[in-house]
Amino acid sequence: MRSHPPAIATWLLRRFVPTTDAEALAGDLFEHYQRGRSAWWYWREVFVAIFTGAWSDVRRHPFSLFGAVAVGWVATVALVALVLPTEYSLLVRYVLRHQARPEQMPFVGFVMTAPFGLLCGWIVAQVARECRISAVSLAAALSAIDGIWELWLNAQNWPASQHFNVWMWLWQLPLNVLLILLGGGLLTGSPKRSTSN
Amino acid sequence: MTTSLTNAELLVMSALLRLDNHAYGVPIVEELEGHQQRMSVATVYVALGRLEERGLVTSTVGEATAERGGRAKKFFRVTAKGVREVRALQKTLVQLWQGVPQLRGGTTS
Repeated sequence: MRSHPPAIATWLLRRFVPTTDAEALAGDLFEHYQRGRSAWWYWREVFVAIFTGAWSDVRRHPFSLFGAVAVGWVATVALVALVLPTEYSLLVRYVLRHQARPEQMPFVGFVMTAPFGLLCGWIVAQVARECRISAVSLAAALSAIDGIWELWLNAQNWPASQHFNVWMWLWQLPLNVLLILLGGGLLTGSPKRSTSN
Repeated sequence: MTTSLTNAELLVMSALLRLDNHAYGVPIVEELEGHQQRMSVATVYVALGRLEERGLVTSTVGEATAERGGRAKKFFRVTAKGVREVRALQKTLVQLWQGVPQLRGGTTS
């Protein structure tokens, strides 16, 4: 028997393909690979499976999918607006007592805001029960796009926007995406797929 | 009255009928490739899912084998309603193509 197909691709297939046929599809791809298809072919098929599955969800449950993402974002933004002033006052006091250096502030701030990423993923997953995997993935993708947009806007005003820390951004962006996926339950346990697909 | 079938759905149903009307994803993809029709495995499953929803195909879960990494096969079969759909579309297409000068000469391009 030939060696196993690329492990990361198989993990992505297991986690992010939203259809209920994901198990049979994974078996078919495994069988094709054992019959001599290349690793490149396997990777391509995994990405096609993820995107065709997501597109199928968009067509079948557009209101549920986009509604869940909107509810997740609005609820998170509202909570951030309510909770952050209190958090920042604590943060300022923390810094004023010289328990943190100014350059550590972005990190401390991120630690305080990180739970909102988890919360956003969780809310989206609860609202979009018919298309949970696609909705949480979309929320994570939008978060990444938002981060890239922020970088682009700050790049326009360089070096005036020196408060914008590129190195912080480089690790905050993937971490935010991971937190949303984690909150949505896409990185833990066995994937819960809709039964209507 | 017939409902419309997409190109992918018609190809998948035709391949399934050629495979003694009982096949899973791998032979369906290979059958299509044998007729110069490349389709990703996921696209085949999306088409089969839509057809199953409309009652044009049915599915049963088969045995898990080591060759498939311990995963079960999902076998599909075209229903009587599905066969009627394909026949109706075949009839319509044949009627439409009759007498079209560009399509004379059969399979030669």
